[in-house]
Amino acid sequence: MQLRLGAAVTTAITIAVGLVTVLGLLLGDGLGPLSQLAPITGSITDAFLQLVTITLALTILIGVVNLLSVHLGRVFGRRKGAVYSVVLLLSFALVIATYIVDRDTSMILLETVQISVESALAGLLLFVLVVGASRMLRRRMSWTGLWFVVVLLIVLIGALPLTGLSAFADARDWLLAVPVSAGARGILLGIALATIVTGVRVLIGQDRSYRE
Amino acid sequence: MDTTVSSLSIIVIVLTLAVIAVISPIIRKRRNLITLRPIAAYEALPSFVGRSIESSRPLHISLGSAGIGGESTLLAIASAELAYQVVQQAAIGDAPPILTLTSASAFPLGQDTLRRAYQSRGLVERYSASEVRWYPAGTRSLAFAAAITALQGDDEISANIFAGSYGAELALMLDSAARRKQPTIAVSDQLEGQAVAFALADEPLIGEEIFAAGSYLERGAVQLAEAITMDLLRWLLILAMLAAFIIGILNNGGG
Repeated sequence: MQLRLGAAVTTAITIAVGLVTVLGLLLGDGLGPLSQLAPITGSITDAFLQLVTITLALTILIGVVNLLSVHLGRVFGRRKGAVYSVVLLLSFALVIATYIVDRDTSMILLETVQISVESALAGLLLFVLVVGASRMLRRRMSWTGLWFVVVLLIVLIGALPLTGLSAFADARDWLLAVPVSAGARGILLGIALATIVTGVRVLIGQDRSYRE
Repeated sequence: MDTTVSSLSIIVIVLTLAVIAVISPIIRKRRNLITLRPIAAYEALPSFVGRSIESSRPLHISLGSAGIGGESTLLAIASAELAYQVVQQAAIGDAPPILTLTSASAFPLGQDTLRRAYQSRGLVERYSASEVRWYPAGTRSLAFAAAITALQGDDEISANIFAGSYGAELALMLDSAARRKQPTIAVSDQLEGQAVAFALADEPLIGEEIFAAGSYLERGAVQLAEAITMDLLRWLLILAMLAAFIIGILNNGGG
């Protein structure tokens, strides 16, 4: 019974904070009598958002502790891939040490190691995408799959800086301006509507985390 | 915020609230009459779980860069709902499911989701906080992609569910899974990630389908009401766009 009471109290607090924050973000001038609430809800919302920022900063510390505990467990448990965990732990210690001693050295480490590795992976992306498209044709031979690959080829050929391919370039421009743009907007609108519905579910206390 | 945008936002929120409030009690009485269109990814989920349990290899669920406190807050909540449903089913297996994320703000959400899923099956003692793994990288991070490809091999993952926020780097993770013959479900709120998911995932979800996880996997009254509300709002939007289009034509014709 105590647990249920606790859940009810936390749910009530969450709903109240959620509603005040939404009102604080939405209310402004020109909304009739509701506008009178704007200064009060606005200042409360600002306070809540500041608290959120501080809380989020703390979650990074929790994340770092988790990262270290997972990889320490892997090293001491001598599990598969433990050598990579050793590298990660040493890198972590090295970055912390250099950051304390000399921040510039820490930045050099970041630029020479992480950015180089990420750039190499970015270079691989193109090949992975092309291989993926061919794999899709083998695995899921359907009209939509075929359409996807045909459009992909037109767009790629249209992007080539060669003379005599103006028809492909025009087709590419039309594809990007009309069907791709329409499809993208459709997906984004769908996500936006679903986001609103999920937001309302949270606001009215119907989210699972409130019930359990 | 602009007055028009504020007014429209308030109208949409109140409308959504009203529809859910009206529809939920009706659905509670006539739940069996509601038929949702089939979504291949949700139909494939039980086989993913079965594969994990039978092979004693963990199921991998990833939220990507979806996190609390930003634009992807509600996506993170929707992804966590999917993770809850999957973990709840897979909890009886020998290999506990692994949840990965790259937004530190989603970390407490991930741990709470996993704990509640085990608790709902009466197996809370099997919950381990280290099965939620944070990889420190930002949006569209290739470092995160590299870490996940390593995890797929080291932890001998049975199947992957990428439900969250990803860019084109999702291709690296899906390709790595395909090479290891690990089936995948993928969806992203970013257009690049969504395109990659459609092309490379075994079972892609499209856009808002991730938000319907509860409706398909639990079929609770509120979840079903949500799915119907989404459809209703979509039709209202289509009608509004058509009306705006016709009014535009009429105005141009008249002018």
